[in-house]
Amino acid sequence: MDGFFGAFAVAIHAVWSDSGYFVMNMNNIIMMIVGAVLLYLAIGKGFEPLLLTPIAFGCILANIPNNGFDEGVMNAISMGIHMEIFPPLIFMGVGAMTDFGPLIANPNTLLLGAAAQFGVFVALYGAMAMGFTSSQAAAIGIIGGADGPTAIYLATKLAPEILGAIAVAAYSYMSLVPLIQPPVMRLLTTKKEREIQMGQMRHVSKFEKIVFPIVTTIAISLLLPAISSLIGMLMLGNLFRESCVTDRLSDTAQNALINTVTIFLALGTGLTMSGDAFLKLATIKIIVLGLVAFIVGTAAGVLLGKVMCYLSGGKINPLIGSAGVSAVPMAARVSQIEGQKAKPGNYLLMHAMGPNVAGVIGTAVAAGTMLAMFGG
Amino acid sequence: MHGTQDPLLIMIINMAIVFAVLFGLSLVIRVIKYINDIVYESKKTAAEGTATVVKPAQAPASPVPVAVPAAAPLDMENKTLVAVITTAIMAYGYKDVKIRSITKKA
Repeated sequence: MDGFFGAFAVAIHAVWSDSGYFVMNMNNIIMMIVGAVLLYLAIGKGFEPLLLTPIAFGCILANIPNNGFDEGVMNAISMGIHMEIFPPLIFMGVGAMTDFGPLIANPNTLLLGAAAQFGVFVALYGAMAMGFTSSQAAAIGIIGGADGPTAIYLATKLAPEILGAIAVAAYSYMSLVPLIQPPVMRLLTTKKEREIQMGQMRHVSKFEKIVFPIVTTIAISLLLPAISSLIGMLMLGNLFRESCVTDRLSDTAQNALINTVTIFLALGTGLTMSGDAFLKLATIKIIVLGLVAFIVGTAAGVLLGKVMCYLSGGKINPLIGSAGVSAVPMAARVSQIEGQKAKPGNYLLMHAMGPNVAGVIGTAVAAGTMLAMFGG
Repeated sequence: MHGTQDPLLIMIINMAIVFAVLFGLSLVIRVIKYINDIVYESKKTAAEGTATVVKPAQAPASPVPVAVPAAAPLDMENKTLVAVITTAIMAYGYKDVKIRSITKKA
């Protein structure tokens, strides 16, 4: 019997010493709590559940010691992020889901998308002032674009050591768009401006919708080759949608593919949130800078919207300027909601989609210019 | 583009590039619209031209209805001719005959 109990004790000890409980540290516990809080926000509060749920679950998984994620499916998912596979695929889905018509109908809204990138560069300035390297600062600044895939794409190339914090900040602020933007929008506009009803947009022909993605891909990719995979996939997805001869491909890109890649991208993002890499003072700085970038970007878009409102003789509602931060289509929805709050029946959604799409392109261009400047 | 580490300068340069690229893109959209308008106009003109050409092309069809009233007197002539021939035959004393056909000489 002694031999039996001895063997049993050795086995129990081996299981215990090999278990995660044995080597778990305080950082792991804190990050699991962070993951649980994110899950609560996603499931309990409905904040961007499609993204936050897998991110939060990935965060919990990443903090299980001895998890063996160096190989197998989890390693493959992490490789999808580190090898920049997922962000362009997400862009293809976004392109297939998005109607570029409002942007083509009113090309002036591209300037609103450009203005909203001001937040990116203010955060870059702030990050460099705080002691981050120029490459890290560029990766941090792009959080202000409110474009998760681009933020991950740039961080992977310029500052992979802070990828987790950047990805989490970017997706967290994207999910908090309905909370962060409205106070800024209300602060910078008068009720009279918010009540402005915009006229009917012109009809955009099929010819324009087909030529636009092709010409844009060539023009921007030649200028900023580093982002040609992002812009190219965005425009390819849109071409699937607009050509009307690739319905099956369009359907796959905007449903099955983007859903599959979203699971992998978000889970992979969560897997970067291991306690040892995440719980640093730098992470708090990144999250604060990301918030500043986001607020400044929103403000810059609204302010340029006010200028355009003045120049157009009151025909443009400045609220659509806030949609210049990407976050398609959530930022446009916020413009719509604020417009309707000011005046029921005020329909701004399609008008706000112009700067919203411009914001996606603008953030990618901003990423391209920073890649050209700081290498990658 | 490597070189400067001045955050303000980096910020200004990048912002200027983003504005320039997106402004350039807005010009591209205007050019596409311009080309679209030209293509649309030329198609419209071509369609109108085709419609004008179609009228004479349809002209051969239009005599058909016109020919109908023209054919009527011809029928009347034929009927008159048939009546004259029938009367002449009857004048010759053939009363119990049935005229099966009167054929014009080609």
